[in-house]
Amino acid sequence: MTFLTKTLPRRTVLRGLGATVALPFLDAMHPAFSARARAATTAPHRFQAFYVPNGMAMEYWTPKGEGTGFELSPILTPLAPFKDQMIVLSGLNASWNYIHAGASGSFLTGTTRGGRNEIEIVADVSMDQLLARHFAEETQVPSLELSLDPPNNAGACTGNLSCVYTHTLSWRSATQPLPTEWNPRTVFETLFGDSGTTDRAARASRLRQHKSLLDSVGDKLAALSRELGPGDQSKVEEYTEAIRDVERRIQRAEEQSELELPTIDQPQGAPSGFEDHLELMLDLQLLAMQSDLTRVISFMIGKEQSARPYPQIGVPEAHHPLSHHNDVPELILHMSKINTYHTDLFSRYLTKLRATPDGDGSLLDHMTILYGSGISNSTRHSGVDLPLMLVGGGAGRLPSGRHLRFTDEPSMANLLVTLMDKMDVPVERIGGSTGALPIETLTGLL
Amino acid sequence: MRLGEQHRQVGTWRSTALALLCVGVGWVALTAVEASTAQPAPAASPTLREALDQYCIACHNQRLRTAELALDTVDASHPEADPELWERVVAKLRAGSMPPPRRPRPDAATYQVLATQLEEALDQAWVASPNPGRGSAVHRINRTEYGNAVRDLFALDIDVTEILPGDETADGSFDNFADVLTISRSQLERYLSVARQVTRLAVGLAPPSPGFDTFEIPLHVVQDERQSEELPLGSRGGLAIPYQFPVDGEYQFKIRLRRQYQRYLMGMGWAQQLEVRLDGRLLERFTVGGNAQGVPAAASYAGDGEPGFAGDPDWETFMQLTGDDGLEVRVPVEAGPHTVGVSFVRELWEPEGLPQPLQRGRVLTNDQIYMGYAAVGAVDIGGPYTDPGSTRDTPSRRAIFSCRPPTATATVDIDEAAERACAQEIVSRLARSAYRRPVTASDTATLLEFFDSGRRDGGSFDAGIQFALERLLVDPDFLLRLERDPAQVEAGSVYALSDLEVASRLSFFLWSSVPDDELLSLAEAGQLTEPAVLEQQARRLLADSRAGDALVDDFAAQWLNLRRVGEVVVDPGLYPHYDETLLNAFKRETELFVGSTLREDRGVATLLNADYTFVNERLARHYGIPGIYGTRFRRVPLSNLDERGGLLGEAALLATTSYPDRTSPVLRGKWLLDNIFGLPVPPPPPGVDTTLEEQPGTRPPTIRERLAQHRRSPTCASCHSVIDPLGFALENFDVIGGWRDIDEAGQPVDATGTTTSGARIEGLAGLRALLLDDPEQFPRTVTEKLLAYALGRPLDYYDRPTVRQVVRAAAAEDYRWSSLIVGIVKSPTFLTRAAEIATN
Repeated sequence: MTFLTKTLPRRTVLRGLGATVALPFLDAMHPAFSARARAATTAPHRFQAFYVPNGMAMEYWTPKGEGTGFELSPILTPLAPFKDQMIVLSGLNASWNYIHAGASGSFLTGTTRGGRNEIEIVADVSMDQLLARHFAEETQVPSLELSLDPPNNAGACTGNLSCVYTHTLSWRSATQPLPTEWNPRTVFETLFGDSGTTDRAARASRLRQHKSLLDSVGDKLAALSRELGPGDQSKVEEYTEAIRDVERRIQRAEEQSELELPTIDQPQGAPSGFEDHLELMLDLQLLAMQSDLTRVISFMIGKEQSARPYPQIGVPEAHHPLSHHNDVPELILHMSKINTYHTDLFSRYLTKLRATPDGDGSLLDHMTILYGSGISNSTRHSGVDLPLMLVGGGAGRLPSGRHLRFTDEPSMANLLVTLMDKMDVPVERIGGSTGALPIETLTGLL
Repeated sequence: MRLGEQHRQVGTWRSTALALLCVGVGWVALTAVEASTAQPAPAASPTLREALDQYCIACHNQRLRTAELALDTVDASHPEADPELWERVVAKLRAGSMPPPRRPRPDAATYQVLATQLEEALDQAWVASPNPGRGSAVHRINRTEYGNAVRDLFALDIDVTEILPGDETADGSFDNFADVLTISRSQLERYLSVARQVTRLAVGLAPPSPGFDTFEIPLHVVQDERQSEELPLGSRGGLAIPYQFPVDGEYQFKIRLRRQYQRYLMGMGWAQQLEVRLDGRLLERFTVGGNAQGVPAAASYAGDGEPGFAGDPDWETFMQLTGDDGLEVRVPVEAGPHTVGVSFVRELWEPEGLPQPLQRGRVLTNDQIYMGYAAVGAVDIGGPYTDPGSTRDTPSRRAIFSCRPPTATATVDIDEAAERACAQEIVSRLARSAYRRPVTASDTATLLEFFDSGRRDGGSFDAGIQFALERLLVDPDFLLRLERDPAQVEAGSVYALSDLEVASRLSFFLWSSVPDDELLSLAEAGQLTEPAVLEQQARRLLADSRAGDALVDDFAAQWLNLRRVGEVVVDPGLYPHYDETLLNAFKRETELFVGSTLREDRGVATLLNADYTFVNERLARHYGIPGIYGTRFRRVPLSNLDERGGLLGEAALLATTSYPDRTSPVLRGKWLLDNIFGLPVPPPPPGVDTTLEEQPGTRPPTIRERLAQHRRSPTCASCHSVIDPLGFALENFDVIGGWRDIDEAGQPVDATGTTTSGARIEGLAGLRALLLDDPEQFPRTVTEKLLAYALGRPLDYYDRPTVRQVVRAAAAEDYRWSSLIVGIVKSPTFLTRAAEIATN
């Protein structure tokens, strides 16, 4: 529960440039939930994609047994406390299997093909962006696209295709990939404005300032409008409408300012340590969802084809080259340490989600998290039988923990269709899907 | 099938008419050439009525109403009665696009006579009763204007592209058109946020928490040369960052080096010197590279995946994680604008003058990267990290604090009255400039309210001023340009704009910013609209350096595609020498070139037939100009005007009108028609498949062969017979504007084009000659662009007489920039406005 205390330990202030910071004024508009309203109404359903790169040591991933009585595999063992809210899916195939580009490029888009060369950048609109469009009116930030690696949209990274495919999961349209944000400071600014703190008094003060500015401006516009002829008033009306819009949001924010949020100082850039960086990014994501600033997040713990080494767990080899283990058992085991490290860190995040009160339960109860990779056997860039799981209560829409094995080789795109339905934003099709994926059954057999 | 019916099938009047307008360009050239070489026809030209009856009414009559135009029943003796219709006719006559091909048409002289006749009648009528149109009464300033206003009000240079959203523009319009400048909630939120940031920075208030800004160098910028004039001679790579330090204090600069796709630092195989400078003064010099321990990784991991392709753990850790640790400098810096420079000391592989090893390429193996040049990836600037003392003077503080109240001491309390009096002086002065009019008591009262509130909450005089200025920057009178109908004016009549309104129009036209004190004072005194004063002020503004900057960075940058240079995509397989440094050079060349014609007030034809340009070493090499060394841009004479010279031979234009892997005569031809010839073409009709067929396995056809499909269909041919030849003339320029004699299909370039009238144009020189043949044509296009930009709206039929008048008058001065600009400023279109028409 340390996360909810008002002052965070100084580890959130970063190394490298470390300096203490004063609590500044807040420049933010928080929509929706006041503390009162939160208890009364249903907490919203949030979606998060949590991507791990370079496939998985499948021998250590796939659970034994199927249905609700499955046995956790070595890589899944750190998630034992969450077994009841975990649906492991076996037997799904990538909709576009092309070295590394297809893995991340089709993970949320379900596309069956991408570009043909470095300068052709095309996929399909991703399901998180379809959700974002739907929630845009209700949340301040339609969606967050986050990563621990900086974005890259130039050059070829994999098999002659643009680096764009491996650096993002989210596509606003078939031709518009969205760059990811990796700098916690920028994420903080997106959520809390440029003078960021989450301290309540500071927020309230800034809201008051905004209100007085807008009141004053609104008065002047009204006077201006009276001077203009009917034909000219439309522009002024636009302006007045914008002011009213902002004032409404301020009002909701004031109602919501009773909410206790942990006080976080604005980060000073990205921490140089992997765990510190990851933790800060995940803390910000939790905060964003807790305060309903957004309900849709896609997160990559590393870009696809990540070459990050993990000396801290005794794996100093770069991840990507190591993932080309050529099916040598010692190397597979060695690589699996990275996979287990990731699930261990993920488990710590889930613990915090479970400890965050949200509506009539916890934040985790109201989330659907898609965890996995677009590659299974990494040395062959295989797109068959992907390592995937759904974690969270799904706001009551997800069945309880089970291992489902699909034998008719459905495309992962079908899973995306099912997820849209679970989020109550049903669609006919995502990318090259052929239907929805049934996940309520115990065995997954059609 | 009758011609009329064919037209109806093609579409609306506008599209068909414009479609056939396309046919005209060749006609213009041909008719002009014919007139000068053929024997003039001895017979008298027919009257307008006779000509219409003979050539036009077969289609354009009441019964057929081809293109919704009926010329049989109109009164040809009084064209001024229906200028909208007759301007359409004039356009067709000038372009020579009517009657359509294969129909009987009058001779060239007749076209000339009739067009002139009509124009005279229309112009006379317009002069007697001008119609200036009615631009929007409420016109938001765009982000460029916002940034310039902040610069002029507070002496603060900010990068607006980072903090404010851009404004959408359609093809051919400018981002200062009132209609595109909407005001949405998200924009308002940005304005609120930006007002606070900007005023805090300008006033010099300590930021609530240390700032932290990251400046990244894009991957495709090759760092093997000196990157900027702000970096030392003999440096390599890196970047120079102009940065506004908010207050005195300690700041930290941290450098991260560039990594390749395997996340290894680049160039670590040998020691290089990295320097950090502040305003040119060396702060620290680091040695990077050359000290990785242990066995390096294999050249590439591709292969059998045996263990051992990774290097020793020490090596891997260095190359992946720690190699660029500790590249930090922490120094005290004074508040205000300073330049932070980060660069390597240049050490060449080969002696100077020989080609250096290529540093670019995709998916380079690990050992090539290892022994290549290290490069800067990003620079972070953070701070201030100490409690700031009193903030010293910065340019913006000097601009704002024209007075200072006495400060409180141990014995003397704060004198509230003195503070308020000083606050009043400051806010009224700045409000006058920001609102572009005399300040009212209500203005000052409002701003002082916010001063009081800020003084209270922030605890200092400066904090009070900051909040008042924050209120100022979100005021409608600042964000909106307003033109109000006077109280007593009759609906639909034309009235003169007030002096203050003219002052705003003038300064936003020439400076993209607010009027200065001299201009405002003249306007307040009611003297600005006196013709002599107006002209003198227009010339004064034009002579100011701000005009050169604004007209190049704002007007020309939009007109000539310079803002799109950054978006150019080029196939690196076909053009391995392309990189972002080269693209930036293209932009710089055209900026300097257009700027030189403006500053030297040359005739606008110079834009097409200049015998000089601006290059640096990289660009000179690209253009094949020998003997140029160094990264500085300098003016060079051009010896071969068949290959370079004028806008049409400049790479910025050529690259922004190409596809990534091949040139496009269609894109180039269309761009020329829209922006140089002033004869815009419509898009293809809906439902037309615009892809060019490629038969797999056959020899790739030349562009010419592929575009031959255009000529097979009459619908396509009507426009493409005009567009394509112009593009063909530029075929010697490849995708990035380099000269070539062999095209993509491996064939010798054929840069000839035949216009619809049969005239043959060849190459750059031929295109230039075609354009300059009618000396009024290009000046007219430039005037149209300038006028639309000045008015902030697209032009319409009632603006044509003004354009003609301005160009006619400018002939005496050789169509210099100033003659066109002053002509526009003095025209009724600029100085008057149509009152609103009563709607009930």
